[in-house]
Amino acid sequence: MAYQLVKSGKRQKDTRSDSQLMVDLCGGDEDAFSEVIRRFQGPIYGLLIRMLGNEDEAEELLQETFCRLHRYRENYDPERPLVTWIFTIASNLAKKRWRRRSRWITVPLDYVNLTSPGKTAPHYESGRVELRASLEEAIGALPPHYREPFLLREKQGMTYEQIAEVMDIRIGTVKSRINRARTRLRRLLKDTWENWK
Amino acid sequence: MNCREASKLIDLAVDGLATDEQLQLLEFHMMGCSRCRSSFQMTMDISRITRTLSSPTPPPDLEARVRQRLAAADSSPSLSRKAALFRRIAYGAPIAAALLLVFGLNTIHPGSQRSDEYASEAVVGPSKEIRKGVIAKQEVAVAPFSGYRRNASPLTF
Ligand SMILES: [Zn+2]
Repeated sequence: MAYQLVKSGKRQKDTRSDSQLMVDLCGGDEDAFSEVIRRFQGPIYGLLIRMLGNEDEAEELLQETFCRLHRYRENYDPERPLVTWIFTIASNLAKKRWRRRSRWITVPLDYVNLTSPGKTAPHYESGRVELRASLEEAIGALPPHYREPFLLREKQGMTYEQIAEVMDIRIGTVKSRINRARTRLRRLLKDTWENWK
Repeated sequence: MNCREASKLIDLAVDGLATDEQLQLLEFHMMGCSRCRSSFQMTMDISRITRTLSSPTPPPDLEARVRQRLAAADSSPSLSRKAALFRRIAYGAPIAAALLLVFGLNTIHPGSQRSDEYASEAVVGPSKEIRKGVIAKQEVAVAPFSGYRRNASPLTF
């Protein structure tokens, strides 16, 4: 099958909905697949790298996520949000990887951008940077089953219902895991936050 | 309301899901509980700052790599498939023969049990149809043994 690997010229914004992209992909429109990758690569990579703590593994599973989306495209139900489906694929791949590791991983901080400019007073900004670094570290220290729903909620803005679907758990479990994640984060960050606020 | 119940309401409030009544209850509790008040403020800050944490940049050649993998799976059997084929012949045939003797030909269907497992493993998704597993042909390239088990019949050997 001949795929178009290189795109040239300035790209116009694709205004199709996520579901329409999948419908078009099923109809053989490979440009729709390119757009799906463009839309979701960032959020999926962000989740995978924080879940796995390792760029190489995150990249590998990122590729695999999109390969599976393409391979199983006919299984997609256009009535449901694509974001939930694609995160489910990524989440399952990450879970399989944890099982193989059989241990929890702490995310290294080497990819964290600590130099994001702020428009606040210097002392406040440095405290904020410190809090952000500590927060990133604390999130990495959460057990994966707390970390994932927390990130899906806070970074992706998913609803409890969507998180339940992605993780294949009950909504009550989502709530309690997010609650525990936040409780742990508060405990881990108490001193830093007291100094910062 | 105790602090444990307040903690749940703090989550709802931070997520913007608390009702007016729940917010009033929480406010009332926090007036007399500095610990929960502090928890609430801290949870709000954690939530706000988490949203602004940097997002790592995906590799620029991601799409090219994905398409290469898809093309490779489409075009030719991988080495692992060949190895799997060899294992099927080497180990599978005697087992299949024994099964034939015990159960007879009719009991071996080109069933989909393994396919179901693989589908649910690969794309445990929102729809039940996915779990039931309508498997694309390309799946064999990823899970060679699913092809083997699905097609386990005397004709295969
Ligand atoms: Zn309290």
